[in-house]
Amino acid sequence: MTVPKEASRDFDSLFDAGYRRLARLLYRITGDTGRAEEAASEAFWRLHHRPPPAKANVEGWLYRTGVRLALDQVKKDRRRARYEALGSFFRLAASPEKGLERAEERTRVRRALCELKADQVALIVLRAEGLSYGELAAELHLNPASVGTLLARAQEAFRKEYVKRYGRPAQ
Amino acid sequence: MDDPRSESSQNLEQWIQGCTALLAPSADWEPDLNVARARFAARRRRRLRLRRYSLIAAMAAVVACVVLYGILPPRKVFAQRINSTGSYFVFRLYRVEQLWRWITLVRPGPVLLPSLQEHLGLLHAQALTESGAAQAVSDVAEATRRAGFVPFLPHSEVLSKSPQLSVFGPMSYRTVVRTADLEQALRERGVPDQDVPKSWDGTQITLQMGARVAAEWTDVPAGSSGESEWLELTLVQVPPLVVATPTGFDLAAFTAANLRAAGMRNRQAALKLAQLNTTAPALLLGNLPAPRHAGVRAVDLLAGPATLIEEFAMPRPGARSGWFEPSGPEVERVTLLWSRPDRVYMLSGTMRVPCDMFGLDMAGALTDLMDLAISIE
Repeated sequence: MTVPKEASRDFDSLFDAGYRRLARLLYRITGDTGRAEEAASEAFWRLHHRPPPAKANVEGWLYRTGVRLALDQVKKDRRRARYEALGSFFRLAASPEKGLERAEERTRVRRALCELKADQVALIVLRAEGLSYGELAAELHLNPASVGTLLARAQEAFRKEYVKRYGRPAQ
Repeated sequence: MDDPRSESSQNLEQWIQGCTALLAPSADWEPDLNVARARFAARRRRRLRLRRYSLIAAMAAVVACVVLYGILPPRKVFAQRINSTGSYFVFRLYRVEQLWRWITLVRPGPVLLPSLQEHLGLLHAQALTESGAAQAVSDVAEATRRAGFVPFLPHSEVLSKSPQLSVFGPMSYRTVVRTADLEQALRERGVPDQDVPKSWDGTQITLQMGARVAAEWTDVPAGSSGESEWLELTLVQVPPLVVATPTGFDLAAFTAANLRAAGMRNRQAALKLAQLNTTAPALLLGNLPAPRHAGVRAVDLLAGPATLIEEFAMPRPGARSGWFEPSGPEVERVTLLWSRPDRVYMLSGTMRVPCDMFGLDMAGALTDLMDLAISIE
């Protein structure tokens, strides 16, 4: 099943409007522009090829799908990194113009984040993109009254994961 | 950054913001929309192409299935020996095999020997020792005791019906070559290039045959052994035949000359057939009940070559030729002769309904008979 012809124009508009934003969002997870763009493209392809039910929130569906794809990529890279002297994950996450400490902290944050559930990751990164609770509820098709609770749970889960892995955060 | 454990939820959110801010992409990075669009379009084209090919492949598969369904009806049982190690596989592609036999055997047609019966008389084969009347035996064990070897029968999955077994005593034949008769027959057949050495004249050839076991099945219905209905099937097996000739006598060349004198025009085909060690005894025995005409050819029985003889019935009065009518002579009886190191086999079957020599039914009859032969243990 593919997007019907009459919806093709809508899809193109959605692609033009949403692709950049989704790719930048996914960068927060992958830490790699190429990977982020791949995941974003794949999410749009899935939307085109197997669109969600008509009543579904398409943008929210895209975010959730994109986040899952990005998480999958990160996990895949991590598995590969175990067998390589220098994992691509670490290499790609490194940023020469910034300090080593900052780069290490970025890596820690990303690794802790990637251990969470996809929905929790989507909440945290979208919140980091500056979305309000109302916007989060609309984008992720959530009950506006429960967004705060869900976000708090996601943040708490992130904190626990971070502390479990690295203890007291670096100053 | 402060320790989140000692902070309020507001501070937790600030800490989280600080963390996630580390993950933000560089401000100067902008995902390339044009590249993404091009990549997306290329993927869509690939998908469409794949779908088109998949559709073609699916249609081809459906057509193949329909064709196979048409030519592959279920068959009762069909065991085939694949190699000499004796391993068996149940092979149900009967129609495919039948089609293969039609293409490789029936369609090219046999090498006709229009004067075989007549020529056999010219060989003047005389019995030196008669085998006597057949002695009916009750089972294989008794046949073994009387014949001195264990008779093998077709695999029970191929032919389940029990045969009537009988044993014949040893016998021997003798013939004396008369080159004048042979040359005359060759002339009458219009064969000018067959060499008949004068040294052959007066040569005595003897054929010695040990005790033989015959197994006969009568009224074998379709489904019992393939799809052909047989009035009778007979399997004769005998220890290796001994053909005694003077030193230096070329039995194969003599056999080839006789085949050509019986009407086989093709020299190479005659030579090839004469190489089979069952052909000369068949000629010498002269016991081919050729009612009218016969056709002969070499066939492959997987474990070795065999001589196939087809005997034709007289044309039925009023028979027409056409798509649905016999377009060639009708075959009434088929015989296979082949040898193994320890014995010679002759398997023959008379069909209940003679079939067109070029028809698919003929291929079915040959398939059935060859399967029987292959299954014999």
